[in-house]
Amino acid sequence: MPLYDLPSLSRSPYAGVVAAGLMLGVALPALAQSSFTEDTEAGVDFRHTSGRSASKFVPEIMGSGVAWLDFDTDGRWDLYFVDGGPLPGVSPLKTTAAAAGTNRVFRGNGGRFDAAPAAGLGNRGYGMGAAAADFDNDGWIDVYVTNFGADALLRNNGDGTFEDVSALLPTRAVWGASAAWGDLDGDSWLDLYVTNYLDYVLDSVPLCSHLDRGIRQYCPPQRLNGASDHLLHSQGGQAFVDITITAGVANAAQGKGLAVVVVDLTEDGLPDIYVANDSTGNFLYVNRGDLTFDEQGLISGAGLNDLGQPQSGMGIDVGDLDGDQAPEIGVSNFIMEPVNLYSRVAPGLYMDASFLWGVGEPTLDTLGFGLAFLDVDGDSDLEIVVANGHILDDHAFFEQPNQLFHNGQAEARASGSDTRPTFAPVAGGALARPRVSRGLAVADYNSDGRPDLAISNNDQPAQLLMNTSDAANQRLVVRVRGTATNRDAVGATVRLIALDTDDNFVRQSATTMSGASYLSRHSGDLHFGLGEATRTGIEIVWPDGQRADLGPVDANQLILIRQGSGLVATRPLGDSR
Amino acid sequence: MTASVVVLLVATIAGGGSAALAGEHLHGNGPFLIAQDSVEAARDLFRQALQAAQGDDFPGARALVQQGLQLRPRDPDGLNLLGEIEERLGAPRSAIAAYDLARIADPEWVVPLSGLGRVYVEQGEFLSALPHLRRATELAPQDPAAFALLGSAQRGLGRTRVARASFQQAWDLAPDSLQLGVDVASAEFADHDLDAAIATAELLTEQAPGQSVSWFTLGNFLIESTSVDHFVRAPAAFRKAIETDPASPALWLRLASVYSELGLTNEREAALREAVALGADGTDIWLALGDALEMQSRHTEAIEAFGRVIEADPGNGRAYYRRGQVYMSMNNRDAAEADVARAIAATPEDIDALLTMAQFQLNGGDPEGAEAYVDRVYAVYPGATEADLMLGRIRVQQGRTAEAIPLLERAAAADTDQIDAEYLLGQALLKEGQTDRGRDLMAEYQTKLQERRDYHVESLRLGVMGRGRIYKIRGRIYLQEGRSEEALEQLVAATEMMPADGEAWALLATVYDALGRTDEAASARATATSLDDEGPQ
Repeated sequence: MPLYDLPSLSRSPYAGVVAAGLMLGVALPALAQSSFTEDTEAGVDFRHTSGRSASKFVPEIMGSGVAWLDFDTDGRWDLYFVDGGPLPGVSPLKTTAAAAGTNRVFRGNGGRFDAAPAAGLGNRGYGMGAAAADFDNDGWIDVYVTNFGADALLRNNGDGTFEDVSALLPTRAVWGASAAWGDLDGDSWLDLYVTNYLDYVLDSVPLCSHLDRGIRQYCPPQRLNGASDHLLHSQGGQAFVDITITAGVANAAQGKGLAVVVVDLTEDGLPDIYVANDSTGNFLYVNRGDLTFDEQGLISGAGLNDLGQPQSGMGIDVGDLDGDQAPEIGVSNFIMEPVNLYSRVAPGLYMDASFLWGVGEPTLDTLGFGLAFLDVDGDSDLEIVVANGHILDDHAFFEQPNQLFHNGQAEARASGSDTRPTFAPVAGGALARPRVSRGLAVADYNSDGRPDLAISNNDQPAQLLMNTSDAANQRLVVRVRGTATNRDAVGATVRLIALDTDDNFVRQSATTMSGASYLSRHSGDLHFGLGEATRTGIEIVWPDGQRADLGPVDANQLILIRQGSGLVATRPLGDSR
Repeated sequence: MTASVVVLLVATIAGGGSAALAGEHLHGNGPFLIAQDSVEAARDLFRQALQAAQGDDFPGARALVQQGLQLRPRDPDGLNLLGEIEERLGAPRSAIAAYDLARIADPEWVVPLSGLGRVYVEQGEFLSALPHLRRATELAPQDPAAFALLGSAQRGLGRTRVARASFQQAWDLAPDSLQLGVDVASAEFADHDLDAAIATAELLTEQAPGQSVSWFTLGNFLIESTSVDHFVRAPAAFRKAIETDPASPALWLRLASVYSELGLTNEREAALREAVALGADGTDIWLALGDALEMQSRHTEAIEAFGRVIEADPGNGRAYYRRGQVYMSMNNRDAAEADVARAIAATPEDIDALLTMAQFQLNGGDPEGAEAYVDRVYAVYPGATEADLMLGRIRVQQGRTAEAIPLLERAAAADTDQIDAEYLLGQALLKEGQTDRGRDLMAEYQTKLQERRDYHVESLRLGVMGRGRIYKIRGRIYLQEGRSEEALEQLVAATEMMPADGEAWALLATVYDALGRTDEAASARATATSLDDEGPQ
């Protein structure tokens, strides 16, 4: 297996040193309203086109996703925006530009972006989302694009071009939404799960109308049939086999999937698949280890809301929200439905704590799509960001503010009070300006260690939101690369161990995932806030179960950990603009 | 008894129930010899009493007739007259006593028998009325009032079949009586023969087209029918009633309730407003108006309507609660919570409001606050399983899952439709390690959820196809009411949604004809014909 160095990083002096406990400071700064500032000078000028028409076809309201990826491996994050455009054979209400419907790439250049030709990535299907990963382990990131219509697999040639290798796909979705890569059988090759939203053919959609108002309206998902998701098993990165049925994930009857994540949710070392479905209950496919899965969404408690009712699952994220080193699952939903926060009670058992933790009520007013858990302020616990926007353009609240919820657990821990997570909405700021938001993806594009956001808005300009929270807290960004496992190390878990001022261990855990959010792709780097601590111990568990203890590691670095080699490169964090 | 003929005219005394009949009474002398001048004196007093009664001086009339009865205590005319006067004075027991004595004095006389029957029926003592009324009909087989009263008594005892026969007999004897026709129709309805009731009511509208009661009766029966051909005609019938009695707010209110049953919310609102314009007032009307507005998503106007109720009746907890629900629909949870709090203050035992407030507290992350409201529900209704469910949810949120289990078990057992209790119970069992039972419950829940989902999806499918059906029905209703423009709008939508429905096209053709749009009518009719030729789809 070849080694993949990042030429811009230097070797860490701490490689091989056993982890040691470190101090975690107190008096953490509160999250300010101006945590995010819209960076309008960065050169990102993408505007999404939905092709909205008088016929009110459902794809028009779904928006599209955004992906962070380093397609040219220069160490800087690039942006890939998926576009919709006019639906085939449908006249939009507004005239669209000639380029509408062409996905666009923006190459990162030290905190700025250049519109890049990136030949082959301008897939012209009616675009939904993008899931990027190095599926053939050649060191170059590839892209799977979901469309209303046939999806596309675009392989990175390593020379700035992409080749359409969709012929490798045995099955092509009819309406792909989100997709996620994961090594489901531990053979080091990434398999692919694709959610299919609805069985929807433009020529034969039903007429849906508002009875009392007598006007045509978008059909609700309950009125339409679902379409089965697909699970494609990689054959050494050279081909794929459709194992949907044999794997036990054929779900046309109840499957109206919009979001998916591949991550170990049952804590047995095997990656599971969690799918958010629109109005039919979410799926938790528990990996049996033999490429078969057992659907346990209902039993797990993460399939429905706390009243046992399905919600309109749009976006997902997974992360340790309460500091117990076990994952919580977040799902964004429709208006009058809260963002679910499924808190882990036992391996594979969850309880919806959204109201208890303070997120439920404030999210009843909004219609959520993209979702991200991230440590915005660097105080060692995760905040929640939701990208909101209604679907009905004649609704009074069509444009909605995106939401940021600050996690007060670190402050509570520091003051010795109850450490149950409490999330408080942070009002105002660039994030809260009303938009019709859809895709949301996280990356530190200016390399200052603070995670930033890219948001795709339906029929509106995209937004690049720079994290401008107080830089006082220390941070660590971890990038992992597999050698005996898949190169992207999807499924690797990194744990930090530190000591707080009361000599209590403070642990953080994060897993590299594919999928998450809505139709979008986070960068894949793991961002940790360390508060005032300047060093931390690190443990990594690779997807194949190998463990490695590293550290202590200094804060305020981007570090590269390679399987079998440990810490191989570091780069200090600092604004690279 | 020596026969002695005395002609006594008993004037009709206007009032409720069957009218006393003008007629002649022949009676013989009683078993006692009475002095002729006593008889005359008594008769004279009875005549004076009658005159006083006709002048509405019933107390005076009573005094006079009692004086007469002192002279002739067993005079059946006087006793009967006393009975009628006591009836008018609202003294039913005294009336009964007087009538009974008259009956005893002259067992063959039908008038006191009818009087007895009438008073007993009015008092709801149907069993006591029966023998007297049966006897009355035997004695006077041509007396419609007796048969009508007999029917009332039989109906009161739930003997609908014989009641129907009695009313029919009464009506046969007095076919011009609108009231008896209504009674017959009502009896047919009570006898579960709705078709006959409708037919009778239709006959009444032909016999008395200018009487609101005939149309009102017809409308009442039409709306009871499950046949589309019948219920679409109900609003038109009530509108006819309104035409004949335009100043009656009660008719508009009834029309509003009919529209409510038919799901024409906007029409319901309009009818309520007509009733208000005619002077109908009262909190119930404004509550109904608020409901109608909210159903049309006209939240601001609904708020105003409920506000009027509150202004008129500041203690109306239901108005606060409904307004709070409207605020919830508007996502204004602060206002919603404030109104629900006021609802509780006004009606501390309103379980709906208490549980809603508990939900607010739980949503706000305050399970302890929620529990306080649940305790109040238990104080009002100790066995409330809705409270068990809410408390169970609270315990789950608090992590006290073991305590939640018995609560959720009670809630789930009490109401098999309360499947969310089953879900929560299953989850709690799993989390408490009762894995087998938890899994079994989850499997059952999955099945029920699927059934409910399938039903909902099917309803939605029918709704969207059925929405075509609803448009068609609405079109028919408007057609019956002669509202062609509104009918056109509905039927155009119906044919768009159900292009293979020949009936919809035929109705559309009818509307176009009514509007004088002959070419379009011909086209629609041709489509209807061609669909009929193709046969059922």
